[in-house]
Amino acid sequence: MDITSHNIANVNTPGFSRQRVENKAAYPMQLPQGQLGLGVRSEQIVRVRDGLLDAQYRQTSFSLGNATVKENLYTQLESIMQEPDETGIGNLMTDFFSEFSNLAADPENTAIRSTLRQKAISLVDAFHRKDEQLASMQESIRNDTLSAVDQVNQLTGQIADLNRQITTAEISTGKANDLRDQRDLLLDKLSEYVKITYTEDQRGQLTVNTEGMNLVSGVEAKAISAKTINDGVQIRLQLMDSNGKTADVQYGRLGGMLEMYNKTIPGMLDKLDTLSSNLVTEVNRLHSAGQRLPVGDPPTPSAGIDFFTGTDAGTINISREIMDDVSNIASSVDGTPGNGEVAIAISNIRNQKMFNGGSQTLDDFYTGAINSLGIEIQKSQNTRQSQELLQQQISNQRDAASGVSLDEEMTNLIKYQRSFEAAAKVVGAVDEMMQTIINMV
Amino acid sequence: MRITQNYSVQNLLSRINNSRERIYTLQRNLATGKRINQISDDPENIEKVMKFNKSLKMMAQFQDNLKNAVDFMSITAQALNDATDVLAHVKELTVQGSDSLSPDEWNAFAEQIDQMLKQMVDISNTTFKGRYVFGGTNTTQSPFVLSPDGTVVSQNADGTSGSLKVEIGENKIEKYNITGEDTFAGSTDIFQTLIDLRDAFRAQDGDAVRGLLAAVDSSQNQILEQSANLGAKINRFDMFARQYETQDLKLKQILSDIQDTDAAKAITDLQTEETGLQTALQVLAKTLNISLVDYMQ
Repeated sequence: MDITSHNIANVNTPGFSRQRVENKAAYPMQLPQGQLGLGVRSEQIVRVRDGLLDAQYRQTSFSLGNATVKENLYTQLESIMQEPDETGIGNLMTDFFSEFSNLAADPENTAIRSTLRQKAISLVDAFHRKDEQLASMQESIRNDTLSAVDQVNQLTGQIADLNRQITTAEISTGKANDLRDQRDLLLDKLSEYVKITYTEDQRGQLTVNTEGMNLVSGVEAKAISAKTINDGVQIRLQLMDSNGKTADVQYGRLGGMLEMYNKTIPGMLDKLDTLSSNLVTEVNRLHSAGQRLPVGDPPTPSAGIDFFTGTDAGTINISREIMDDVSNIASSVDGTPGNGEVAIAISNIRNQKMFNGGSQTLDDFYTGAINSLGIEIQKSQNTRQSQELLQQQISNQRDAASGVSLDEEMTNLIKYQRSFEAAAKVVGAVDEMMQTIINMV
Repeated sequence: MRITQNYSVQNLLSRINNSRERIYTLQRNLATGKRINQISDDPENIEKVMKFNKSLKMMAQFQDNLKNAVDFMSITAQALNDATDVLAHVKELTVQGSDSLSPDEWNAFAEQIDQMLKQMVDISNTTFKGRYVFGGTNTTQSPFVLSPDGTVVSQNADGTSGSLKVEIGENKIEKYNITGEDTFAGSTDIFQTLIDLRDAFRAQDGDAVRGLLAAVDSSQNQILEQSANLGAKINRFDMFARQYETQDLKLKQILSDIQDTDAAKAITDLQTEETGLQTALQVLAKTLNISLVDYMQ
C-alpha cells in the first residue's frame, strides 16, 4: 500500500515511472510432513520502464528540437522579409523601376522626379531595415545559443550529480528508482539540445557523449562553451568542449541555432548584398552617362552623376546631390529636357538578365531567394510536425508502460485492503481459538 | 493497451491545440481575403504571386504612360485642326485676292493674313501641362518666335526635331510627338508662306498672290498629312490601352485564383473545425472526471 500511495502521489510528476513490488512466496519451512508455507516476502521494488522506448524518444527529441528551433527562426526570417507585401523589397524595386518609366513619359515634371526620389528612398530604407533586422536576429540567436549552452551545462551537471547519488544509494540497497527517473528525465531534456549517446557502467553511472564532445563522464560533468570566431570569411559561432576543442554540432536545438547563425542568415544577407550592389552598379552606369535637367539662365544641362552611393544592402544610399535637388536626376540622353531615353533605359534594368551567367534579372534573383526561403520554411514546418507526432506516439507508448493509471492503483488499493481484511480475519480466528484454549484452563 | 490519465489528457490537448491552429489560419484567410499571406503559406506559388504582382504594376504604369501620351497627342491633334481651319481661311482670302480689289480691301486682307500668321505662331506654341507639344525634346523653350516687326519667324536654335518617347510595353518604346520642324518648317515653310502672302497683299500684287496659291495648298497638305499620322497613332495607342484593360482583368483573375481565399470553402471548413473543437472540449471535460475514485466509499 505504500507503493500504491507513492504512485498515486506522483501521478502528475514528469518522468515518473510507476513502481511495483515483486512479491514471492516466502521460503517454506521443511517439516516431516512436507513443506509449510511461511506467507509472502517482498523481493524488490522495481520501476516499470522500457529502455528501448527511452532511446527512441531521445532519437526523435533531437530532431524535434532542431526542427522547432529552425521553424521558429525561419518564421522570424519570413516576417523580416515581408513578402508578398507592398513593403517588401520585390514590390519596392518594381515601384522604383516603374517610376523611371513614368518619368520618361514626362521628364520635365519635378513632381514625378520627387516621387521617384521618394520611391528610391523607400527602397533604400527597405534594404537598410532588412540588413539591420537580419543582423539583430543573428545577435539574438547568439544569445539564445549561449543560454542553451548554459542549460546543457546545468543538465549535465545534474546528471553527473545523480550518477554519484545513484552509485551511493545502490551500494546499500536495491535500485534507486526515483533517482533513476530523475536522471532519465534529465536525459530527455538534454536530448532536445544535442544528439546524445550514452552508456551505463556496472556502478550505474552514465557516460554521455554528443557529436564529437564528451558531456558527462562518471561523476564529472564536462562543461561546453560557445564562441564567435572570425575564420577570415565570416564570423562563425562555434561550440567547444571542456578542453577547448571545437565540435561541429548539427543536431538538436544547438545544431539548429548554429546552422541559422552560420549559414542561413549570412546566406540571406549575402543575397541582399548581391542584389543591392548590382542595382547600384547598373543604375549608376546608365545614370552617370545621362544628362541632368537643364537649369539656370539660359538653361544648360550638365553631365549625369551617380544615382546611388554605397556597395551593399547596409551602405546603399541616394547620392547627396539628388537628395538636395531632383533636377540632378539624369533622364535625358542629349541634354534636351523632353528626352527621357536614359530614364527608359534605367527602367529597363528590370528586364536585364545579369545574374547566373545572364539568365536571371534582379527580380528573378530576388524571387528565387524568397522561393527557396519558402521551401526551407515549409520543410522545417513539416519536419517539426512529423517529429512531434512521432514523439507523441513514442511518448504515448512509454506512458502506456510506465504511466500511473489511477484506476489501476485504486483497484490495487481495494485488493490490498481486502487481503488486509482477510489477514485480519485470520488473526481474529486464531485469537478466538487461543481464547477457547485459555478459557479451558 | 494500458491507457493512463496522462495519456488521454495529453492526446486530447494536442488535438485541441492543432484544431485551434487550423481555426486561426482559416480566420486569418477569411479576414484578409487572401490564402497566401506569407511566404510559407504556399512556397510553390509565392514566385508566381510576386511575378504577377510585378506584371500588374508594370501594366498599370504602361497604361498611365499610354494615357499621358494620348492626352498629349489629343492636344496636338486639336492644334493641327486649328491650323487646318486657319489655312482654309487663308486659302479663301488667297483665291479672292486674285480678283480686282480696292486698296482698302487689299489692306484689310493683308491685316487678316497678318492676324492669321500670329494665330499660326500661337498654335505652334501650344503646350500640354507646360510642355511645348511642337518643341521636339526642347519642351521648355518656345519652338517658334515671331520677330517684333513681324518679318521673321525664327525656330528655336536648339532644334524642334527631337522625338519624345514613351514606354508602352515591355520592350515597346514609341515616339508620340510630331515635331515642329516637320509640321511648320518641313518641305513647305508655312510661316514664310504666310509672311510672303501678307507682304503680297500689302503690295497689292495680284500676280504674287496667285503665285503663292500653290504654297498655300501644300501647307494645307502638310498639316493634313501630320494630322493623319497622328490620328493613326492615337488609334494604335487606344488599342494598346484596351488590350491592357482586358489583360489586366485576366491577370487579376489568375492571381485571385492563386492567392485569394475561397470564402465558401473556408467558412465550411471553419464550421467543421469548430464543431470538432467543441466535441474535443466536451469530451475532455466529461471524461476527465470519471475515475474509480468516484465509486469508492
